Amino acid sequence: MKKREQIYIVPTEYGLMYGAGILVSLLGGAMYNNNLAFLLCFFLMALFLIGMVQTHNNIKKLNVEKMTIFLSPSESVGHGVIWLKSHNEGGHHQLRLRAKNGEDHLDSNIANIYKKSLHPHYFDFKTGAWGKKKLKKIKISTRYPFGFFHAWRMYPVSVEYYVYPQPSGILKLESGEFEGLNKGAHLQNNGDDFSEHKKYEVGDSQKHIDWKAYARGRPLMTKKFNEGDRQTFLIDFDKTPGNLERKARQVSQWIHGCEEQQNSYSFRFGSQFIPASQGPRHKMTCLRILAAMRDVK
Amino acid sequence: MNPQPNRFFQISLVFLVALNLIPHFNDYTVPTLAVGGVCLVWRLLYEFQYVPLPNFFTKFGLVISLSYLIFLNYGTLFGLEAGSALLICAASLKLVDRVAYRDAMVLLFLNFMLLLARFFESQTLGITIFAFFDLIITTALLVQLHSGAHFKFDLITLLKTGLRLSLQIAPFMILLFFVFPRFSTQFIRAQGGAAKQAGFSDKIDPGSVAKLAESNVVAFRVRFNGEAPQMIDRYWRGAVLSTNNSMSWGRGSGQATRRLPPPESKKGKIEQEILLEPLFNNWLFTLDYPVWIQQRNSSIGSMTRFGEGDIYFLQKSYNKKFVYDVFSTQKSREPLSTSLRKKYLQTPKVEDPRVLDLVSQIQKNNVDGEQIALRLMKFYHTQFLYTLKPGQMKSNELGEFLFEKKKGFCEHFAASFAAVLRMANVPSRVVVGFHGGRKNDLSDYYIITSRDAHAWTEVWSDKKEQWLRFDPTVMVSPMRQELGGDIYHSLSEQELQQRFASQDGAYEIDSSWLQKGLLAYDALATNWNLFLLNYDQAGQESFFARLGIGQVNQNLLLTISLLILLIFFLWVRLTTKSKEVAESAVQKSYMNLRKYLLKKGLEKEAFEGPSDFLNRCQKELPEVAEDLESFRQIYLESEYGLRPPPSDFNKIIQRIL
Repeated sequence: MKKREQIYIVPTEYGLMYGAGILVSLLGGAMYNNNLAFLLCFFLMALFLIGMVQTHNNIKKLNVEKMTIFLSPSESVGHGVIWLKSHNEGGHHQLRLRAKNGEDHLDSNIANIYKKSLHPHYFDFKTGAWGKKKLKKIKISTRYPFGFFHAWRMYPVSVEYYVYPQPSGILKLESGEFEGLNKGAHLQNNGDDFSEHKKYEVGDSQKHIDWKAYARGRPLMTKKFNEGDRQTFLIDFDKTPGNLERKARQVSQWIHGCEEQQNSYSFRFGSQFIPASQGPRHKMTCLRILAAMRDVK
Repeated sequence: MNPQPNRFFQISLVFLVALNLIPHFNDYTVPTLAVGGVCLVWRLLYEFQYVPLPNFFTKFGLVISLSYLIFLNYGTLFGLEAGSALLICAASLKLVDRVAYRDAMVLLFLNFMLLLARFFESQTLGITIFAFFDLIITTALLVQLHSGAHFKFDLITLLKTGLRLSLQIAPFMILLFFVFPRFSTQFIRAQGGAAKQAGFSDKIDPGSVAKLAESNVVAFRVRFNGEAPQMIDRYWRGAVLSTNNSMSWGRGSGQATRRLPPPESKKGKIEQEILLEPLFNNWLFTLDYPVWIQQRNSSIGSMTRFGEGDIYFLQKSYNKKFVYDVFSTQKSREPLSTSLRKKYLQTPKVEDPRVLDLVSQIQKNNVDGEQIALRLMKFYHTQFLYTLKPGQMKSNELGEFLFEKKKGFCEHFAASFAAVLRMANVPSRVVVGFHGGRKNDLSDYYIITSRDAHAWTEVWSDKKEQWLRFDPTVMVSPMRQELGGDIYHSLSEQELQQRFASQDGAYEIDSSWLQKGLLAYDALATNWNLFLLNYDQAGQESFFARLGIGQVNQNLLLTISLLILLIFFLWVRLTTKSKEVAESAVQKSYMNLRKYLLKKGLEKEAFEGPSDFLNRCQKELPEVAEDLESFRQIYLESEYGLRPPPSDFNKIIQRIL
């Protein structure tokens, strides 16, 4: 069960330079019969060894508890969080988290992980093409404390994540494109009628939270409104013109447009149908389905 | 992404480099002051006045110009001196460069190299103490550089880190220092460069000296193995001057170099261990009269020569401190051949009737050279004045000094004394060296400074068939011989008169706290210097012999050194904080549960947290889902919350298992 930690360690270019310095001081001590040069040589040698051990220890007994990569736009900046647990009494300092998955590139510095702690590290990464992706391994490395050595460890993670298409497209939401109620109605419509309360769930729009009720001691609730004359659109991927790339980007654009205008929308892709709704959770569901159309190995 | 140094770090680094340039100031004044100083000021102007740093082309031009200047000065870009000058220039030019991570690492590395270059110049206690603190600061900055840009600068913490690391290293350093084999490096031996400054002259021309500059630079230190001779016998000879031209004396050309005398029995010899300072080291000073000397450093030994007048010198200058042993007797053994007699009687023709009259007076009855010298000594008794500010003589003639000027210092008296004796047909010569020395009671050795520099004469006695020492200065100023030059010149005229009038025992040296402190430091520094200089291959052998280990093979020592290195590495591994944190009871149970679940084909994925994993297991194993859920709650509360687990939580695990 307990796998041996495979930590790799090599001297850096500065470590090699420093090693050459040790050699020079040793030769100098011998050539000039100089005992202080010998003492300096032994000091540098000891520091070199301490550096090697400490760099190695800095990455030792560090486990990845969990890693999540949030839904992110393509060709932009994605976000994620990694939970690192230190089982080391010395803690960890100045770690570098790196991963590469196709065009996606993660390179983030972790300043400190205190001893015996569980440390969440939020990171940004550069995203490439859209699709459903799987990050198989990450690399955590360090040069702390002297920069003489570079130690690293590969962690298998198998994290699935979705990168949705970058929103773009010039097609307008024409009536023929949509199905549902109140086809062709104005997008700017804020005249919803209150119908009932609903228990707040993570992802619900905060603007619909009933703060007054909450202030009166009631649980956190969101207000539901009658559809009224609110617009509801159907975004049908298959009916969107263009090739896959153009269609995906256009659909992404519409989803973002509807969210910005606070319009409900349903989403259809092949046999998958997401009923009309609106809000962050709905947006994420639709974008995730959109991203999953392309499985990037 | 390497950590980029913040501004505070950059300024600290600039000051560290400046600090490391200071010890080089004396030996490399131009590169340190002209390049280091200018670059430091430029950097400070950049930091505080926003004066722009030089662009690439300016820096490139500076690198080429400085390299060319160093080449012009030293004739090479390699070797110790040119290399040190290059290092100083390189470190200085880095000051006017931006300090990114790479530059900071290079600068810190250059600091180590500057320190190494300094060690090749001197191994004093001062440099050792400086190096100790310098290494602590450099190590602390190295740690800070890798602590990230957001690292909060805390000098005390940093110094503590540096000190802790240094103390961790210290036992290893000391052990390896003693054990690491010192090889005889004949095939790669490096020679020191030319002496930069002459500290001792092998010719005298007292008539041209208006005022003798007083300085108390240490010339050498002596430790006697046995009883030290009295002050009146503490004459250390340096050079013997045989060519005379009125008041001027020189060594002359074509002096024969002889084979080094072989060692003799030490019985009856005065044994001295002499630590010679670089400024004075063309001449190997020896207590009158040397029988043989012994060099501890083989490379210096091969440069040692023995010359006419029982003098020892180095064929080439060696601009570092070194130690040698001298064995002396109280009588000169040097014979006088016919050709040498002629040489030691050479004198220019003097027509001054006053001088001729003096010569005829001391020559009366055609007595031995010793008698003639004693008569001449009386002549100096009352008529002369000892002063370091005699003023220049008009003609620099013997008659002018003996009958008109009548004041001067040791060189005047010795020069005129020997010149008159030669006119009286007595072979004589002037010896320049040191007389006196101040004892450091704290470590039982004598410090001889430039204030002890002295000149005296030697006269050949046909009756005794040996050279006899005559010091005419004694007749003019007996206190000079009684006190030694260092103490004599440190006293005022009034103090000297009081001291002369009292005629009591030995003069007590200044016992102020400052003086005591300086002597204590000197004792410590001398012992440290002697220790460092003496711990070579022979020193190492004698160290192991004293430990009772006997003859130790160099290969064995190398093997032991490698073993020490390995043990140190293992010790650091064991002592560095990498121990796994002790698992809690709940964690242990969780690990047991995971083992059980693995058998059931359920393995925790790396991306799964314990909660997600146990949730998945509940779906896969519905029969124990309830217990798994209970354990999940307990685990989360205990590991991530603050609630301790219930006492009976093990029962849940047992139920599942």
